[in-house]
Amino acid sequence: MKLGNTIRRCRFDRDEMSQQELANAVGVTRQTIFSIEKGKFIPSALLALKIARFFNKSFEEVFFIVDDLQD
Amino acid sequence: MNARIKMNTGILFIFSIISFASLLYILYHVNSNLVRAINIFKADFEAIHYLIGLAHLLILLFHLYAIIYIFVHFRLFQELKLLKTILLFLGVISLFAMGVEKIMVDEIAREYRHGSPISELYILNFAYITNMAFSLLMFLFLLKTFKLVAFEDIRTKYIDEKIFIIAQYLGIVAGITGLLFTLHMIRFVRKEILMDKFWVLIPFYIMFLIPYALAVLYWFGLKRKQRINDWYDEKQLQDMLKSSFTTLILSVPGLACLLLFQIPHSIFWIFYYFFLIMLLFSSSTLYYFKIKDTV
Repeated sequence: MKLGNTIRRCRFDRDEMSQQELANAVGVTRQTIFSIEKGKFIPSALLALKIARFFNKSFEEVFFIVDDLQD
Repeated sequence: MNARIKMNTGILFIFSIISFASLLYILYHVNSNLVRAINIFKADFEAIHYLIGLAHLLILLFHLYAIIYIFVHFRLFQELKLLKTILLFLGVISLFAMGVEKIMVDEIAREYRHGSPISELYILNFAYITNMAFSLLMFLFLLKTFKLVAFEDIRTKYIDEKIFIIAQYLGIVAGITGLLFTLHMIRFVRKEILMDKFWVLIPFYIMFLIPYALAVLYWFGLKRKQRINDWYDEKQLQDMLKSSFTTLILSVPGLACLLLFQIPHSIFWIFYYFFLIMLLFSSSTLYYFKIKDTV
């Protein structure tokens, strides 16, 4: 089971905002955003909520569970 | 911020010219009258010796200032990436070359007093030329930065993770240098010398640590007004936790390697251990933070 996300899509919808801009907005490094986007790092609930709130979306709209079968 | 970076660029620009001129002055005296320039027979100090000493001090200060300036540049600007990477590498080498200069001057004086042929002058010249190359490249870099500062609003480009990454690279360099130096001492230098005079090695170990220490101090300088919990983000903390564990595991076989050598003095265990840990921790942190997720 993995944590999938739509951060790439959300950034695209926000005039192709960069990972660095998102990182600055939620107070983490660019590398952290990169790793979350690729599904290599699972963020804490607090960070995930911060990201969702930044895009004015609900938690489930940005993050979702990827079952092993889907994987 | 613009005003501060402009001021520092200006000061360092003048400093780079002074450093280059100082090196020309030293090179001229060392190659025209070596005996007098390095005061081989420890005669009374003349004005020239104070000037040469002052020139070395200025060059050292220029190096420390320039290395910190490169950290600031990495943090504030995305431009000139290749040039500043080369400069940082050359700056560290050039700083180490200053240690080499001290060793060579002592060695030349010793050989000269014993009437042996002097073979180290070309190494001494090479070390000074490395310093000159750094000063010159820094001069060109600062010229380019002047243009950059004139057109950019710097406040929009804060990139703290660059310093975190640079500190790991410098930790790797310090770790490798310290380890190689320790192993060289254990393996090739006579046991009696090391037993009696191991303390003369300490300035060299400090010199290896200077670039890393500058990066870490700069990092702490940036973070001093923040709460400790905010110094690192959660991925950085997780990566450092993993790298601590990796360091703990790998340090066991790493230390076991030392059993292959006869240790002339127990203090060498500390040097070896310290630089081994530094190498393992910095390289594993860099691996977990930057490399692992990209492959």
